[in-house]
Amino acid sequence: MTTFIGKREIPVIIVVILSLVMIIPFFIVVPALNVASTEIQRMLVPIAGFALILGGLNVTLRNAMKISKRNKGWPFSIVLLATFIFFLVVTLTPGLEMLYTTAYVTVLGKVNEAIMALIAVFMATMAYRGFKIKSFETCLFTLSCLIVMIANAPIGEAVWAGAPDVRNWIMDYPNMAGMRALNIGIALGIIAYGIRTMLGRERIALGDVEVKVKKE
Amino acid sequence: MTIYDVLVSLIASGLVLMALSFLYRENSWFTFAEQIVVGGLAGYGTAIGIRQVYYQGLTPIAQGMSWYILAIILGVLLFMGFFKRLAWWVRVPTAVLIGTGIGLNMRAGIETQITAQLIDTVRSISTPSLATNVNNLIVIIGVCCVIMFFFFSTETKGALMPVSRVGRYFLMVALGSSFAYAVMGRTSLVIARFQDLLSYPNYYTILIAALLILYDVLRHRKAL
Amino acid sequence: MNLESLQRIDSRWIFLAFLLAVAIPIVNPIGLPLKISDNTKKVYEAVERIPDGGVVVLTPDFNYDNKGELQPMMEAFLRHLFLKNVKVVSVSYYGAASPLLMEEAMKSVGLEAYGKKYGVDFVNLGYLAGDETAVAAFGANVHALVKVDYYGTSISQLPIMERLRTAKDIDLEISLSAGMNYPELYLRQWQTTYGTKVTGGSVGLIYAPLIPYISSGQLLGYLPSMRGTAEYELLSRRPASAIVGMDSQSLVHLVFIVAIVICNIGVLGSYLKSRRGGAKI
Repeated sequence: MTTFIGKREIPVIIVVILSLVMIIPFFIVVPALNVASTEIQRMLVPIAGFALILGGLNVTLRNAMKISKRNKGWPFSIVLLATFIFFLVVTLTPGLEMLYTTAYVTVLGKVNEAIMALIAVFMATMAYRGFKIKSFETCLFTLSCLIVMIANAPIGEAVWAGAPDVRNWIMDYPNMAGMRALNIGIALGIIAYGIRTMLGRERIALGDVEVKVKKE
Repeated sequence: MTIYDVLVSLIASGLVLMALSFLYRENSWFTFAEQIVVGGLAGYGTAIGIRQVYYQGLTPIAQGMSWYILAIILGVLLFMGFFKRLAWWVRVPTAVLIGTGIGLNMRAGIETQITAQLIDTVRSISTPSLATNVNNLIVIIGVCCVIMFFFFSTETKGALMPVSRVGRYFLMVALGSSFAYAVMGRTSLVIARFQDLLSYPNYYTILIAALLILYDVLRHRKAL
Repeated sequence: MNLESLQRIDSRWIFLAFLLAVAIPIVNPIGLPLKISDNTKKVYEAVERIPDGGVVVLTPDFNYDNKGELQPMMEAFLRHLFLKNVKVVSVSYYGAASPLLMEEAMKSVGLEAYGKKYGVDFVNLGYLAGDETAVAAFGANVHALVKVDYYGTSISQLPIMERLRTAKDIDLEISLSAGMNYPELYLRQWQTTYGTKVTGGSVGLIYAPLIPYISSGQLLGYLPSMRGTAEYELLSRRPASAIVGMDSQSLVHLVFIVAIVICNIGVLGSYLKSRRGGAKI
């Protein structure tokens, strides 16, 4: 016996109902829907909190398994888990504010920033290796990058007084046109993806991944 | 500065230099610093998640808003992924989050990201100023050509080819200028770290790091 | 000289040049002048035009990985806001560490130095998970969503919160964003829905895609990273760390420009060699 509503249809039905509950009150005043919409938005905040806990649990389990199986790099997993437990305890325990401030603000925050700072240094090599002018498009790319960089740096302004005006023109007209079209395209894509999800045509986001096995 | 402050500062700058050592070559010191960051952020994030559940989920229930039990149930369902037979239930809270997100995004997204932007694009090209007319024309042509560049429903041929090519040119200018700002942005992070490293007592760690790198360079030269 | 070999310089020399370009001006400042852009003036005027007793919501939507770019910006905004008779409410939707960054900024700027009091002129509501749903819920009914501030004090005990019930009560939203979607969240959920004015600043990476919103007037100007902060500090006559860092920015940009030029001289060398050799590129 086939069922009309099964495991695949229920998530799609939930998506459709909730999307409409959010969209309709924005255009038509329906007091009951307004209240429902606001209440549902508030109820999602603790669910997002659970998602954070899930993330932490995943990290813990994966690294615990790495240690138990003695996989490559397992001593570093001990470091990770020890730091995880330390910050979990220090953040939740009242009275440990000084230790918490020292550990997070004075130590962890700086190291986190240093790892992100590596990107800046690698961008220098990226610019050195990637900005090769071999066509009209790469010429435009490189020139616009150079002009904006010269104008952004005070030393560039000192050498070429007109640099900020040229940069402002590039940013306000050709750059703005390109970025606007990009933003409109992204917005249209998100709307189209949303409608496809509501129609049940996009199921990957809902975790419904079909694995097709080729018959030999 | 107390001895405690000096010690903490030296530990922090030592870890920062371990992270930056990746620039010299990949090494265990970098992995050590990286794992500390990942573990610390995960631990802190989990703690905040627990607080969020308590204050935004359990406290309203205690105050009589019993319908928040549904939020707790949906949150707990997220953990069903760990059990093979119950894994399907994860799709329910996922669908709730996605459905609400789609609705919130779509309802105001059309006006914010499409309508308002299109209104600003349609500018006058018959103003008294020639420069303004040219600039406005550049905006109109640029937006239209870039949108056509991303139109993949038909093959790019005939009249669509030059339009698409012009769109590509505008995109190159936009991405080039975007990269320039990204450079400035990321450089700020390095500057902030160095402003800290070049202050007392952190510059001693730079000295130690420089000596260690020199030792490594000489060791590799001897090996060769 | 073999020009082609200019394309094969070891990356570590570039890293060293970069790090020296950052370090030298910190030890030996240059002090180059800065020109203030119209965009920065727009942001400054947006803050200046907040009515007396108005409510400003400042959202530090960044974490420690972007602290160097946006923390000085946050402090510059706070110094400007505390000079005025406005109420500042801080809430974050980006990451769990953002309230800590606000705490650090408060210690650096100093409430008491401006004659302000926590709970009356400023409040830190901490982090709210949920992204767009949390922003929408906050805009619809603040008191229903937020029960306590970051330190666990009930908001009913904080006089500042009497003025803020929905997004309609916000006179200006200042967004300090590390993610592209964050300014768009406030534009969608507060500006389009309730008419809230939005300004702020962002990391350099997402500044260019936000220019269309500045052009259409949806954003009342937006500061780009360290350069924008340095200009803002100059405009508000309160120089701080951003202006100090601009010397390093100058030399680093010079390193980038020289690297790109050297690479292209190498490309030219390859091209000339192939033409002389008769080989195709």
